[in-house]
Amino acid sequence: MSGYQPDTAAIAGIGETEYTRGTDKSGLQLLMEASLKACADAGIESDAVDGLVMTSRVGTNEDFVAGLGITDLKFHAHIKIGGASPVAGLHLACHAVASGIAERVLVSAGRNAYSSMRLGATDSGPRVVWPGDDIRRNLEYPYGMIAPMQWYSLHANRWFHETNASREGMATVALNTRRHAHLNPRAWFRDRPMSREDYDASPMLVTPFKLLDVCLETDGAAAILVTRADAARRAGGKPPVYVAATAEGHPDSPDDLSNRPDILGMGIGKAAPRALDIAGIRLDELDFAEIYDCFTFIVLRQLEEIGFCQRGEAPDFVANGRIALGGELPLNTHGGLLSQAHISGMNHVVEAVRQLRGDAGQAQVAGAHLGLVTGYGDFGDGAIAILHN
Amino acid sequence: MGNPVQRPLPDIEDPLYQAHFQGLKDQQLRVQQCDACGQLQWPPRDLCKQCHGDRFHWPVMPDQAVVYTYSVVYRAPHPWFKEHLPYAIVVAELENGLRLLGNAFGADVEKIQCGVRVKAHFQHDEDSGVCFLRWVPTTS
Ligand SMILES: [Zn+2]
Repeated sequence: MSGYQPDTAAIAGIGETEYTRGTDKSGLQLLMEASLKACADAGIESDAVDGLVMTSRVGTNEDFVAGLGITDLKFHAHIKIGGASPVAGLHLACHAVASGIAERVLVSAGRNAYSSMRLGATDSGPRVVWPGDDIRRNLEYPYGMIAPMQWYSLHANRWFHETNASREGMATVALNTRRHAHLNPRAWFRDRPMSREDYDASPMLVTPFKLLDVCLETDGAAAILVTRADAARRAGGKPPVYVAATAEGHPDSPDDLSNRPDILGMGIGKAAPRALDIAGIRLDELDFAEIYDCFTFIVLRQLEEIGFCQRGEAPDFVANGRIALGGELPLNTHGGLLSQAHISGMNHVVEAVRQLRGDAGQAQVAGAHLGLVTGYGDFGDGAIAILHN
Repeated sequence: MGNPVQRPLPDIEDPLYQAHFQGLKDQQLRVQQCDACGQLQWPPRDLCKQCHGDRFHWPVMPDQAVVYTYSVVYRAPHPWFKEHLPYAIVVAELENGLRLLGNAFGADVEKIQCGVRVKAHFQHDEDSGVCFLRWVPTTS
């Protein structure tokens, strides 16, 4: 048993900075800006935040206390599972408010990845500290296995080998996501078209990933404020978005892909049944899904491991407009990490809230009632949230 | 600066890896085996995953394997690899199921596929004193 009753917690506020390439602001400034907006959106004073879940490399609880003027911080945590951290942060925040440790928990994510790369970093080595640092330094970096697209290609190439999955699926995800970005004024690629010819012509970086299979680097931050659902209703702001269930999951040997017995196994495959069970829903009841998309292929793999279809079938599942706005399961309606911005997936949570408030503008899913959000990070860690209005 | 770019190097003195790197210099594939229960494991870890024993020896493995998965890299993630593009990263599975990661370089790297039979080659670098593992497809 999870100990979490569906709809105990709610997302009461969301906040985002502008998503840019190039900024004078520090990562911490971006985080504070998004956090203040989330508080304002929830209709609470920032000094009343009493819980913090941080998912970025920048920012400590002390920074947030000072920056937001928090008077009585009762709880904080820092989650480090890469792109699964924001949804895992939502998971933790929900349990924190449900248990009563804290009442108003801010979950934040952000980076000035684009600007910091341009200003300080070089291409002479890895910028991110990965799990299993000894394994990386001794057995992988010397062999040129240094960047995320290289690790994930090991998973992708084995997937193609074992399942004979269609190569079309990755293109479908790339093109669908870009079309959705055109509906979103906040998306970095809102005005940049992508044709099938553009996709096919984009350079191969690492088999099987072309440049247009890989997410953006951007500057920006996003935050959400989580409270108990009854408190969110009393606050009288926007209608709360209810958290039916959350879960996180980790693959076997989470610090090592090469010797994972089943390299196709992912944390989301363990987390999804737990979340569906707590929420008491079936996948075919979902109105939309915001699926972590650092690479096109990882969207396909998550759909399979969640259980929308069998392994190798996701390219067929996403075909024929099923994941387009107006289709059976509109997917990444904001443009995702591929075409909106790389805010470690917190932008996926924000978009789900907008959809469930009816605030998604041109990308609004008609009658959106029940939505799914996922996170994916490091070597296959996963997190999932089921939200409704 | 004028210094040539150095390949990323492992710590060959790392106690958990030292026997493996010495093995490569001796043209042998050595992996970790638990003294207590005989469990073979790779990558090496502080504790045996089966019995949690912490004493190990380092037996020599056969040098034949099959490609479990791979990556062919066209954009170098590090300057040293630029002049070797495209290069392959090969995860080769031994008969006992352990998988060891090495490189493949040269004209044939784009022919590497899962299931291809490969043989270990040992590429010694005089400057660094490190020996690197290469997986080379076998014709048979
Ligand atoms: Zn043992």
